[in-house]
Amino acid sequence: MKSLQRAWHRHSPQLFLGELLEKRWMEPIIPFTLTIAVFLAFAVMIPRYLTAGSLQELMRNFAEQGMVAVAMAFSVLSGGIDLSVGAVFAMSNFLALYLYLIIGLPLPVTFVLVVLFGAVMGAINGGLIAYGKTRPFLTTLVVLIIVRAAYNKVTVAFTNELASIDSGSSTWDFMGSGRVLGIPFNMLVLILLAVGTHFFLTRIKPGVHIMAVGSSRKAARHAGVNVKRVLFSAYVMSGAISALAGILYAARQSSSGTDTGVGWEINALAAVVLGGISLAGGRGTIARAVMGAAIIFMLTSGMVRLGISGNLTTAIIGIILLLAVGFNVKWVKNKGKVLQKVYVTPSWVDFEPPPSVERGSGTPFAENDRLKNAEAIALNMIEGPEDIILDRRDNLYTVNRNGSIIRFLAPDYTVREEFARIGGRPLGLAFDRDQNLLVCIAGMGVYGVKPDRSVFKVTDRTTRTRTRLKDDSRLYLADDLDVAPDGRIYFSEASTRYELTDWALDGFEGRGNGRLICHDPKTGTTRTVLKNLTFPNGICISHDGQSVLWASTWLCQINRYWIAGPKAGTSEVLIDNLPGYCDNINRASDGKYWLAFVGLRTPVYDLAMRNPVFRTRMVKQIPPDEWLCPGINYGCVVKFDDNGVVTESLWDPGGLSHPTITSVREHKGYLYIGGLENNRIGRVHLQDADPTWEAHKSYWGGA
Amino acid sequence: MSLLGDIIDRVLFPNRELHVIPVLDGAFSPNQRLDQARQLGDEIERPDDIVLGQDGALYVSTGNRILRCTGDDFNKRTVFATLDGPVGGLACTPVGRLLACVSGVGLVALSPAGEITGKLESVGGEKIACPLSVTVAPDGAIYLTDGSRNNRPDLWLADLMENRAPSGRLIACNPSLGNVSVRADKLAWPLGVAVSPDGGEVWVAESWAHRLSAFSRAGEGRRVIVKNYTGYPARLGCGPNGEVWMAFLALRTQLTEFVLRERAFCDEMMRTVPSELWIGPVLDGRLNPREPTQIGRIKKLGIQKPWAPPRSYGLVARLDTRGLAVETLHSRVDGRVHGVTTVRPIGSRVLAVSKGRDCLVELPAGRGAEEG
Amino acid sequence: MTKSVHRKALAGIGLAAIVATAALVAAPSQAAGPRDQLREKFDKALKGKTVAWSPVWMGVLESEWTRVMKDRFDDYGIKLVTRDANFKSDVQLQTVSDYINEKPDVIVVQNPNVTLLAKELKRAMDAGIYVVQVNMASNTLTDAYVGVDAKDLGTKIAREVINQCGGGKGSGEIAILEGEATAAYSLDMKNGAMEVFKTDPSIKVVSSQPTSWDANKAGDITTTVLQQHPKLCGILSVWGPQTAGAAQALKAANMGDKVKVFVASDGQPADCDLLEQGAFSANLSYRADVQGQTIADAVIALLQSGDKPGAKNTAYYTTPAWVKSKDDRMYCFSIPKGAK
Repeated sequence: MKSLQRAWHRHSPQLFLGELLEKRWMEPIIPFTLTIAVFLAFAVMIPRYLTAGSLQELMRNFAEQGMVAVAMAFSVLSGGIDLSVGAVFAMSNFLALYLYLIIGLPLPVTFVLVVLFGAVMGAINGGLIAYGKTRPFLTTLVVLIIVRAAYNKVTVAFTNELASIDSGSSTWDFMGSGRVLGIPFNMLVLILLAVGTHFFLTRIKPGVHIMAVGSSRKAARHAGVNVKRVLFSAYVMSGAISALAGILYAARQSSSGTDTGVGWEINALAAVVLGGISLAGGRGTIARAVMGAAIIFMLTSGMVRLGISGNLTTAIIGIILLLAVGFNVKWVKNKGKVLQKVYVTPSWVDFEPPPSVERGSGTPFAENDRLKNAEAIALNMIEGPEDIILDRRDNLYTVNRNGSIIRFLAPDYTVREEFARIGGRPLGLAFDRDQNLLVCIAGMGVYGVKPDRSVFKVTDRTTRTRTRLKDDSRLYLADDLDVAPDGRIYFSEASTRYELTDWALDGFEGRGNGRLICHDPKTGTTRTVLKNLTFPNGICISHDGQSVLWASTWLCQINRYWIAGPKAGTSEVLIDNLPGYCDNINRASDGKYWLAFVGLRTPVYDLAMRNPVFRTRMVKQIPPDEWLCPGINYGCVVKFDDNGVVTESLWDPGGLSHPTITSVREHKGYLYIGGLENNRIGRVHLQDADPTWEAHKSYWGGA
Repeated sequence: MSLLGDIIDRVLFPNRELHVIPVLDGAFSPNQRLDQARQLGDEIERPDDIVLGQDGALYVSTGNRILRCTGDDFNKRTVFATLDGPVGGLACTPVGRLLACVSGVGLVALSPAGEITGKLESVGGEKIACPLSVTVAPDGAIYLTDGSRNNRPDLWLADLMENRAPSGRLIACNPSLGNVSVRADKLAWPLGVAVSPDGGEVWVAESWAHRLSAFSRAGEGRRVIVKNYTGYPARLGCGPNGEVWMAFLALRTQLTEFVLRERAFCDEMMRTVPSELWIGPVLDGRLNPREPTQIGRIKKLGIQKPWAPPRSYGLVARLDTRGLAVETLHSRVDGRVHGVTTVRPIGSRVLAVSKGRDCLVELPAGRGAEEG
Repeated sequence: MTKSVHRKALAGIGLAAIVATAALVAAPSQAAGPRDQLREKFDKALKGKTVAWSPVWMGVLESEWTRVMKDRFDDYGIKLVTRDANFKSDVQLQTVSDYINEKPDVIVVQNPNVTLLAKELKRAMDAGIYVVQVNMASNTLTDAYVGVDAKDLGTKIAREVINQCGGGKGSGEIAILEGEATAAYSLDMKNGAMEVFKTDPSIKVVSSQPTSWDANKAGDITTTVLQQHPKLCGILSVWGPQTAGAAQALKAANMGDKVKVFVASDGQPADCDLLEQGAFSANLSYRADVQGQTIADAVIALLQSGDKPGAKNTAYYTTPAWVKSKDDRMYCFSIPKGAK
């Protein structure tokens, strides 16, 4: 039973759900599901709905409405509204009939003139709105009224001509009722238009500018976008697309009635809102507008086909739209909250009681005062020195939380200089053979700084896990690294699900979200070596260069991964059930390793780790500041050897100077101490250590 | 799901009181004034209550003993009496007898020489095993509270975390410890007891119910004065001008309230983890490396944020004659006067004992002096 | 059951008694007289057939048609499918297209204008579906047309207008209220009327505007026309319900007794009511219920004809009658109680 529960928590469907919700394409999930649901519902209710003929008819009748919705979407995405789309559509419909069938202009000329007419109408809207600074709603409303009135006049004036028109050329008929590969011509145009405008709005500069202006006019202006021209162009596009729809409609219907295009602007607006495009502008896609239009269209046509009376149809659609729009608005607004509640998926972790850390308990972990009088270096001159390292001239390098690498100059470390500024949150440090300083940067990847201070990128992506929904090819949280004798860089990515600031959430999950990754500078390739590791943190190449030691923080383990020798490619747990949460590992002068405990295990947290449901509820019910978390206010330093035996520990009782120890480095008889949240670097003298030992010699030899 | 539950709950029980933790504002707005309190004399090991004797000496209960403190800062201390169990609440009768609550025993009356002159060990055939506080009315009537039928006073945390049905009592007797009666039952750890400034009511502060109630001395009436505090109220102390002082053991936290709801987890925690490492309020708040930590309590750049979720806290409040707080003194998360069990006006001064930090302190005088 | 099956049943030896009994009960149909055979042929032609009906909307007129058709078709075992386009021409086009896909036996259609469905109706006949057009025809001729001869209606009503406003009687200023400008009913009626008006030089058509069959719009147009032409003599309106709005506008302008209202309509009770109240001067009425019967007749005739759809173009013109007083009430129909 318990193993079943464990398996459940290990492969919880919530995990999938959370990563699914995180996807950007989940935002239009409501209109998308609704589209599918409406379609399926009518497919069940209406016999022969799914026949080819029926589907073709649906597409044929939908296309122009979809286009008008696209036209509306343009104006809405730019932060405005275009109420004149319906009137421009109707007028274009008339013009196409008039120019082609009554006057007899050639079809291409007709086409150009009508689209030009739409563009001019759009230009009037856009000109007034962008350059005259009029309100979009009123401006386009006025244009709607004027164009509509003109339409009514001309259709009356040409009643007899309109009544006597007959179908035109075969090209014209093809536009109206032709099919390409079974898809009606006008639907094909809609598809091309939708795909084209989608790319226009997302990939092409003027289109992206429309989105930018819609999101924030001010920001766009500051970014150097010509806001007026962009707005103008959005309305021109809107008008031209409406006109295109009018031509296709003319070819299909060959009639110009008083009802043509009446209320289409309302339908288009409803489609846009239903599709979840924000009326405030800047948020949404063309696909959503088309989906919204499809829902409205299918509801109307479906209910007519079911034989429901006209008025009732209108009322039902009104209610459905109201509900859907309300729900959609809520969804778009609250998706983040839902995600937050669903995303964290704790797993079941069993702990044995750890060895005692009580003073005088006799274990190697027993509390002592060896760090009590640590000398403070760089006190209040550094913020969050997660890792520290010393070069061959004894200068001390560390990371700062503002994204820079800070150097303190030997011998007294009072002179502070910014060695390099990279950005992100720099964490683990290492020197390679050429004395390049390599650094893991949370949120960015692995970077390097040459001795001349120039910054270069080592890697920022690795192989993607094919079976996973979430794209994990980008490096999310590179944590610590070390360089193998052959120059390959091994580094840990602590979590692929959480950012550094959310480390506690990763802790709640206690799940294998992390990876061990190897970058080979010779080939420039990066590949994932081990995955599903639980917060792999510290990385250290063993003294013999045959294996990588890596620390799992939440599982309180030290692991060994063989990279050379007979066991190459296999991994094993070197030390299990440590009493503290492991952080960085570094070589010691006596052939052993220093390990930083970022915090100590607490019985209550261990208990909570056995209880995933408790943790889930905690995350949901109480605010983040109140969450129970691993006790990282108090840690210590321990030393272990290649056999996995812990030999000693160093403590700062009460964690007064060094709470949260994340890194320790030995250099020429001294031990340097860094902490993720500390305001200093500590230094203690090691009595029995080799006073000449330095890491660089240990790694790369030399004098 | 929980949201749905909340909505259904709200619809079905619209009048149900929502016992959420109130925000510290109004008279309870945080300050650092309690940290300005001056420590009197040496440390006292886990002092619990103080009372001024008729002889002008200050009596302090600590462990199984009562200390008699004299001198300007009450720094000359002698053992006045040693009793059969841990001593809690103290009171002094108009005739100079000292009343002491002794865990597992009941109420013990002591002569000025420190000799036991009387005991009240049970009421209605039930032992008074968890006496918490005692007070004497101006007319000599004695009011005693019994915290719980399940736990003794030193197991206060267990009593809170067990979250059982309240079983505390308010017991009344005459000056000679006779004519004993239970005036109220089913109280949730009634640690504070005092006779109201007008003498007509007995005020009882229930720690686990976070409320202050008034019981009519003459009849049966009960009214709730304050129904929901941010902290766990402790003892009440009356001043000469009708003001009443209230101490708080600690503040409630969302995490503690959450764990109280999570019965299975809470029970397992109590069964398997030593009590000083439980999630829940503590008095001292000095770092125990293995205590549970909350995100907000993680030190940033070596600094403990004063607004972090408090595991321990120092808070005393001055109440007006209606029982409403008019002034509070705080020792916040980064402060040092935590776990105050008693605050009493002694002469012109107001003294408090910080059981958490083992000291007797004098509160800073006057209002406004604090901002200095 | 077919006859051969019966015979086999009778001939079979040792059949269960119950089968024999059943066969005996069914036996009389065998010995059918000529009248019975007629009914049998009728049933064979009609039973189980489907008629798909696409009105412009479901107004009083269309409801009456539908009611009458349904009564008849139910009786014959014909299935009637109705889809209400509710004045949306795109919806109606789609409806007819869907009908063609669904292959009913007959499509009955009321065209919103002369061009919209022209292609589709042809396609329907090509697909082997009979098409009956009702009252409002299209540019495509189909198997049957049932309804008024709109042009004739226009001629008749125009003559009445000339009677009362022409030849120097009154100003001779006439306003025409069309329905949907390109709907056959409105277009043809207007054209018929205009031809007549041309014969009398005293008649001036000062306005001719479509109302989209809407009383409010007709009222607005009337108000505007009255302001521009205060001496207006008469209003010629192609349909009753929209004219109610015009009559309202006249009343509001206190011109109710000065301007004469001439209407052609489908005999809705409200038309006769308005005439009796004096709101209309003359109503050239045809009865929707009678038209409903005729539609059903046309459908039945087509189904029994054995013709290929599109082979012939038949017409069933409705005969209108003048309603000028209370006594002419019989030219309006009454809506049966309980009908929707």
